[in-house]
Amino acid sequence: MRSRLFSGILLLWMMQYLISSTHIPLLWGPPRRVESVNPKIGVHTRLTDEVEPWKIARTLEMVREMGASWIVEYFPWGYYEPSPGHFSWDHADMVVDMARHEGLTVVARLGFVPQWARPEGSTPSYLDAAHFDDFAHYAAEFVRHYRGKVGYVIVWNEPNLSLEWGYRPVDPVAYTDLLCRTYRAIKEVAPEVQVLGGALAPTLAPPGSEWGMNDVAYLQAMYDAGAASCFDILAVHAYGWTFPPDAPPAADAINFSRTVLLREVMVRNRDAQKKVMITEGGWNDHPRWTKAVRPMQRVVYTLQAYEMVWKSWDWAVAFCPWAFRYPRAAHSYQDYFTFVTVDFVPKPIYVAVQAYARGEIRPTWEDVARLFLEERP
Amino acid sequence: MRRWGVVGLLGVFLLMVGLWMWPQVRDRFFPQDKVWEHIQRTGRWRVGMDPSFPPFEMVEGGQIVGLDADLARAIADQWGVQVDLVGVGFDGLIDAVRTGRVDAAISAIPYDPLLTRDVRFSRPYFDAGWRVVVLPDSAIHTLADLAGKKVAVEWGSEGDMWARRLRRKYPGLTLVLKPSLDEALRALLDGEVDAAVVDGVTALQHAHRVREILPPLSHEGYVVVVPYRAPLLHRAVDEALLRLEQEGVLKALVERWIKGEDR
Repeated sequence: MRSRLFSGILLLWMMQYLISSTHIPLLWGPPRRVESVNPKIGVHTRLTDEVEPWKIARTLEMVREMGASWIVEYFPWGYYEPSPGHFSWDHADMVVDMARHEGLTVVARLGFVPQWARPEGSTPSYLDAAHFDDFAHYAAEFVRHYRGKVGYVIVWNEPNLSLEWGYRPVDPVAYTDLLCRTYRAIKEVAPEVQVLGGALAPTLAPPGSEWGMNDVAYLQAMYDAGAASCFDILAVHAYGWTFPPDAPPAADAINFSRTVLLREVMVRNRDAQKKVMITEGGWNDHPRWTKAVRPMQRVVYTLQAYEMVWKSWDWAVAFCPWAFRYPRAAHSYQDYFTFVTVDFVPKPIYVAVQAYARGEIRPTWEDVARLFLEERP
Repeated sequence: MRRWGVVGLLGVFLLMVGLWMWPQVRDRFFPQDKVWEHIQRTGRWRVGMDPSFPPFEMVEGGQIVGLDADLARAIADQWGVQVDLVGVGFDGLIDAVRTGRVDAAISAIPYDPLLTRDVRFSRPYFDAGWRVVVLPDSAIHTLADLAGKKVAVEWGSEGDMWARRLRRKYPGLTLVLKPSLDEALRALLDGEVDAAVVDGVTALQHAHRVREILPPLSHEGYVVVVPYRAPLLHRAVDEALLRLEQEGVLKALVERWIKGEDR
């Protein structure tokens, strides 16, 4: 009688655990492996606001099936440390565990200031110096929690834009201070974790602009402030706008090869031994946005960019274009950056990257046209 | 004694309900709006837009022009104030409104139900959603009539996605893939296909030679965004938009910037 009661309680407990557990049932089966001819293929996912576990699992499964080995994902400080010193990693655990199960390497982008660490009425990108150590503490706790699981961490996002710096004038010296404090805090906990700095927005903002600072100038200002000893890899945002990936870099142009200008700043500052990772970028195919290209161009340019990063840019670790899928439609040109729709319908770019990663097509107009004619009667 | 205790508890309860409801009551009956007061006091309305989205906003001769720019001026004219157009990247527009960097944003921004506690959205002034168009004398009158017909789309576009959904629903529908929206429409005008899937702007640009099949495949209602703390500005924008619609000004702006593009 007692053992039957015990079995019943155990069964109920297991059922309750399975029902309440957010991701364990979705991890059944052996760990998967990405199969791709190009090991530098990555993509920026958007799982932060994705609530349903099956959608997170499906997203990451599709990323693997596309042939991408890397994902960049956002882990907002405000979500995981809602009050000082109290951490809640449930959602992040789900994303990291599922990504690892799919054989993906996770690059964690940290940002988003919790309400308790900023003034009322400010935006989540507002962080004043008094709270830099709080952010560094969050980063350290993050790498402690995910030690052995997440080996790459990006400190902040696009600090050269006023909107990403709490709508204050941008400040490369202050950002470098934040980067250095965070770097030291991370290395104390997990010296093997690679810290990515920069993640600057490509912009031609003129000197003194209230909206931002030229990314090349900002990076030099970071070096002047002592950033060289405070990051392991430079995170770069490489948007192609209307230009092909091999359009030459120029100080007065924003294109994919602008990455080379940032690389040159690193070399000039005797930092050439470090690598670059493109953690955002790519092309958009909205019919009306002036910075967009046609869908076919987007496909070919993206494949060519993957190829270029792999074969020509030995100083680049990976190319992770923005963005794999949105949890909900933006109903604006931003939807035209994605690889699959909100309801998981693969766009032609997804099909083409998959074929390229499998070695079925080369990154040429002819091969893409052939694929599209064969694949889509 | 016990009765007084109950009355006391009831009083505390009512006081708490009152405190909880006070913000809503205040906003409803005694609205305060420093943004609106500032606009009226200074006679200037600062509007953010990303001038990279023709025909709604673009830069010509160093000036921001387009439907949204003219719409901002038309609204400001209703209030007797000047408008200052400020170029802001699309990604930063909502935060620019929230933080008071601009008083409003008009930039082909779609309504977003998840942001209604951060900012206020006006009534829509334009619908850019995807739709099916046919020639005026076509026998196609409903989406169901597309079964067995040839439909041109821009390959890989949102319209392509919609057409594939239609194909699942209406057997026999054949997709004819074209490299651009213009070429999809050209295929329709040349009689190569029976219908084309285009966005709202393209449909309007060619409204004089194609007919739209209702209902639209999707809705992308563009709205004016104002700060959440600006209920009076919100009301003023909605009233101005309604007046502009009733007076035919909105229609004239669409004629000028969208229908005029193709003429």
